[in-house]
Amino acid sequence: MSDSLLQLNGVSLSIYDTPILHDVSLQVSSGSVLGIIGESGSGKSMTAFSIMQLLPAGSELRGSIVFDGVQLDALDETQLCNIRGNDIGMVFQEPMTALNPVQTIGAQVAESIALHKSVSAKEALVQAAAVLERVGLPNKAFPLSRYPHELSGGQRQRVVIAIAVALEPKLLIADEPTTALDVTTQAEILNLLKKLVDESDMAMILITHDLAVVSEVADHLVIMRHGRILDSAPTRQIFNELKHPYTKALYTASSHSPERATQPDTQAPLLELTGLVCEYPVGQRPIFGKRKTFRAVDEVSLAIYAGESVGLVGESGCGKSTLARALLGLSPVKAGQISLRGETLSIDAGFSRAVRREMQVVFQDPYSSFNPRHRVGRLISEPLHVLDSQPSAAELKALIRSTLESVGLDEVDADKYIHEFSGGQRQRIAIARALIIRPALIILDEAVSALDVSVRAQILDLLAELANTHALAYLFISHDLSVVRRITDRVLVMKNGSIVERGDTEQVFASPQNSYTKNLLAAAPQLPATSAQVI
Amino acid sequence: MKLRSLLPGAVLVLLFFSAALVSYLWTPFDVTLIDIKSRFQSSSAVHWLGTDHYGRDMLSMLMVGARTSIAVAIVAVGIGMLVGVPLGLAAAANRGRFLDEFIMRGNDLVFAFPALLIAIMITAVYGAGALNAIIAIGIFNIPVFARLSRGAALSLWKRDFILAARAAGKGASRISVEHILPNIMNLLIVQGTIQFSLGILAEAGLSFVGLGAQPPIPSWGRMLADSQTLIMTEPQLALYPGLAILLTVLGLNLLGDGLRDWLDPRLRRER
Amino acid sequence: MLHYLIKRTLILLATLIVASLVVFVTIEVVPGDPASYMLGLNAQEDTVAALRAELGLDKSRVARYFSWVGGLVTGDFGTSYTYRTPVADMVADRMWVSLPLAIYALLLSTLIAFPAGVYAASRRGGTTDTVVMALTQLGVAIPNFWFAMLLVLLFAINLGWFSAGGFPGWDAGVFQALKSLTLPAIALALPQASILTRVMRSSLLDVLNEDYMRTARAKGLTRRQALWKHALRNAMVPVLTIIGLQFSFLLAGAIIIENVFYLPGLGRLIFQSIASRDLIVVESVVMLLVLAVVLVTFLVDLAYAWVDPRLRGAR
Repeated sequence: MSDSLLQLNGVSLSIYDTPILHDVSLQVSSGSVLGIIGESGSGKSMTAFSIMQLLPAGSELRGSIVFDGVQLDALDETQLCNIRGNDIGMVFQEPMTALNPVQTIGAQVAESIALHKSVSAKEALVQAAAVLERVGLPNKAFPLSRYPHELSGGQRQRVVIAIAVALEPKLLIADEPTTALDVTTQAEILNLLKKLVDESDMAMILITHDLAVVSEVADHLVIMRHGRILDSAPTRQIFNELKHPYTKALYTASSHSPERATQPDTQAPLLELTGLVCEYPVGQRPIFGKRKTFRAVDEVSLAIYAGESVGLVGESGCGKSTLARALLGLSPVKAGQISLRGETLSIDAGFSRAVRREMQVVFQDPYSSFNPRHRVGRLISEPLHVLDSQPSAAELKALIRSTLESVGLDEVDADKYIHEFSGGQRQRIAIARALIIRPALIILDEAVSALDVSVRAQILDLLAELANTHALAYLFISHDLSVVRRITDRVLVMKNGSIVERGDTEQVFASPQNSYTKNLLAAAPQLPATSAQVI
Repeated sequence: MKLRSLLPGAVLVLLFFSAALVSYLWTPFDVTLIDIKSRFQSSSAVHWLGTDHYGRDMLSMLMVGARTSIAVAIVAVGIGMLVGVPLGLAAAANRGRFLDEFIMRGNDLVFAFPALLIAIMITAVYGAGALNAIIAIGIFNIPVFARLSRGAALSLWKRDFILAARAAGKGASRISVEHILPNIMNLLIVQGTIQFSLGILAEAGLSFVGLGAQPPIPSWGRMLADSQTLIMTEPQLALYPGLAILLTVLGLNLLGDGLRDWLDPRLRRER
Repeated sequence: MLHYLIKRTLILLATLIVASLVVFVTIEVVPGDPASYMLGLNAQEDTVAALRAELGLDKSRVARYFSWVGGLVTGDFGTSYTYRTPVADMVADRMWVSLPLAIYALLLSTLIAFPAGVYAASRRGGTTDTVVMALTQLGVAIPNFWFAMLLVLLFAINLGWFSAGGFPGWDAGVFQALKSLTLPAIALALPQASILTRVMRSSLLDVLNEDYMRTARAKGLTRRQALWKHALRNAMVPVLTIIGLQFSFLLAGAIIIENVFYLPGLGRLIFQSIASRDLIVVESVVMLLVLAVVLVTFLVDLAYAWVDPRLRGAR
């Protein structure tokens, strides 16, 4: 294609002699959308920064980048500044930190306009208002004088998009623009980006780790791994053929369903909540009187049976994490009852050791879940603290060994520190820590959300296998509907602190009754079908 | 590795520490020996750095002065750490509650009294002495360490591994000792060297104006004060103690910077 | 904003009240009988009794505290026992030396530190950065009173550009007065400027790593424009904290520096009063300095809200 807007030819990048990109070639033509897909460390973001010529210190770039007939890598800084923001706009992953916290949104959008057009400051603000209107932030509700901290994540991302498209660039680069957002917000932002591309002749590069997200937007896909392009073809063809083994592996991992064979014991509930209410104070403490409180969990009742996997889905701020913490005795409970095996727990006095033995937890972030100064053996044996009699040194060693082995790790790992492990291995260690006292229930709070798809598939398999062998019950808390569908027997949908729908997982997903559940399911991006053979 | 400042810092600090330690056992001359006949001597093989207005050996004076400075600064930093760190940890463990508010407001209050003012109040009522300097600098160090450890502990309390420890049924004080303290130790060590150097400066300042160590105990600040009136005729008397303070503080600061880089896991972690 | 303002004001008042209690208890209650302390061991019975009456020691401590604070509020600081003049007058005279000196030094330190810090940060790792950092390393380590002595040695004794000490008074002309404050101000400012430069630099470097700096560059701003328009204001919060803290260091430092240069400021007054055991003067001057420190902290808090809209509250 000679009419392509952007063409990368044999681009290689190294930073302080560490190779990052190898021989990357791709092209984008006006009015089309290119999706770049890869897991963490694939070099997909660095490809974007290479195009923008915004590389960290110590970078060495080879190959050619031609944009609109101009060799970008040959331009000087002044010429590049004229192109950035004007001809190429960029949207970033983290809307919470992408805006300057001490400037109004109007000023930040207008700055872009005033920089590239010779207009008065007043005129720039008028145009900024129009752009904000175009990205779905009407002036009446979102005056230019708003500061970023007064907006939600999705609204902030709209401001970032407004900055990027203010000058109607020829190319928009969106680097994981929806990864930090909830499903419904994600759908809105994707629709907005699609609309912006359709309205004009703008081309877009959409960078993501999520096959389902790009499949709905992109015309052409590029699959990257370890800084190389492995597969490149029109979107439909990619999904139909799954030609490259890595593409196939990604596809299968994304839709992977672990095999589960649990038989829930439905005689009497293991854990039962009745009318649970959790509140916490918000805002500044007024000079007189009490702080306002926010009801995060509003009269929630639920039951979990032994050996059962229950999903709890909802968007951020719906109260699902507060509920999890209340179950673990980590969050104060305002009203309601928690009972375990039919016995009502005394919440205010703190849970007894016997109760803590039955329930364990795995958190989302594999990087902050461990004390960096303790060895793995000590880390995973921390819950043994609740035993009435501590095991002897020999017993402890044997226990640590068998637990590590049951999560697929090795005895020698007990003497290592946590920074020696990858994200997926850390999540295995977190599971080992939960498993070591043989609880009846493990609460998984977004436990696989931070992992790459291939690692996530392995962890889901591990969880299914452990449930089978140890008759474990799970409370699987997640914002990711497709994962919940594949690992749970029953599901609860939470919104604004209340359960709005509950039922058998397949039934809820197949025919949702509540309008909110329907919205959630409609917003969730779907993997397209393939005609290739998938194991 | 960015350890350029660690080595020179450590060498300087070691030099002055050993000078102070050796002075307990041996000094070239007795610092209490007043010998007016041999005053104002310049550097020689006998008196390496010459003698002062009482004929005392400057090198011996500097060695014993190092002892005073270092002792005052160490005890003051010790007070600051021993009181400040537990307060900071307790405030963080009770974040948002009354105890936290109480401790932090108490900190603000102490910050309203610079160390010199505390020393002035004590001296006005009880008279001058090295103990004043220790108490004044020590009190001023408390909120420094309380704030630092509270801030660092607060960010740790938000981490999941603390939640995991709480889920395992561990109490706030046990978590503070087992999980929080080891993780803020680096920060405390680095801040400790900084406060140590500030303590040496403060002690010198207090002794300089007569609020610190009293004669006949030699101290660097006192030596500078004595040299002030003689600066026209004997400027070298002002040179050596000043250089001693400068080099000690410089050494401690370099050591602190070097330690920070060395202990920072972000700079050490191999990926 | 109003909420923030009221809260800060209440904290200011509470701090002042507690501070005044601390000063009162330390100086008037702890030593037992201030009158016999002030007069020393050999005092006559009747002189002690006279002083007791003058100080109002026959009244209860609570009553004395309230009359002292009441006096402070109305500008009546009592009468100096040694000089037999109202403390308020003495303080007012001396204040015209100490306050200009502290402000002079603060201005100098800020004027040096801002450009130096910004320049070093924007050329991180370069020769200028290395040189600036090495100089600040020295500046932080140098004791200001020793530095003052070196300045006297060089500029007053050897070069004769300045006088070695003393203060001609503002009546002698603003230029003469400022000239005699210049060496003391430099001695005070240079170590503080070194600290401020380092804070400015590291704070800017932190901000330069923030995501919104990338957004700014993606807009088409040059590195320089992004630094001035987006980084500087965000880097100000820690810098303001240090400026606030420095004011109290400068006031305290001024007390020592005044001694080196024989300046008739609050510092000299306080040492003379300690020497003559004039507790009335010590008590009031200490309280005055505390007031100055607390007021500056209050102003810094207000400046935070000006810099950072998130602190203005009222979401």
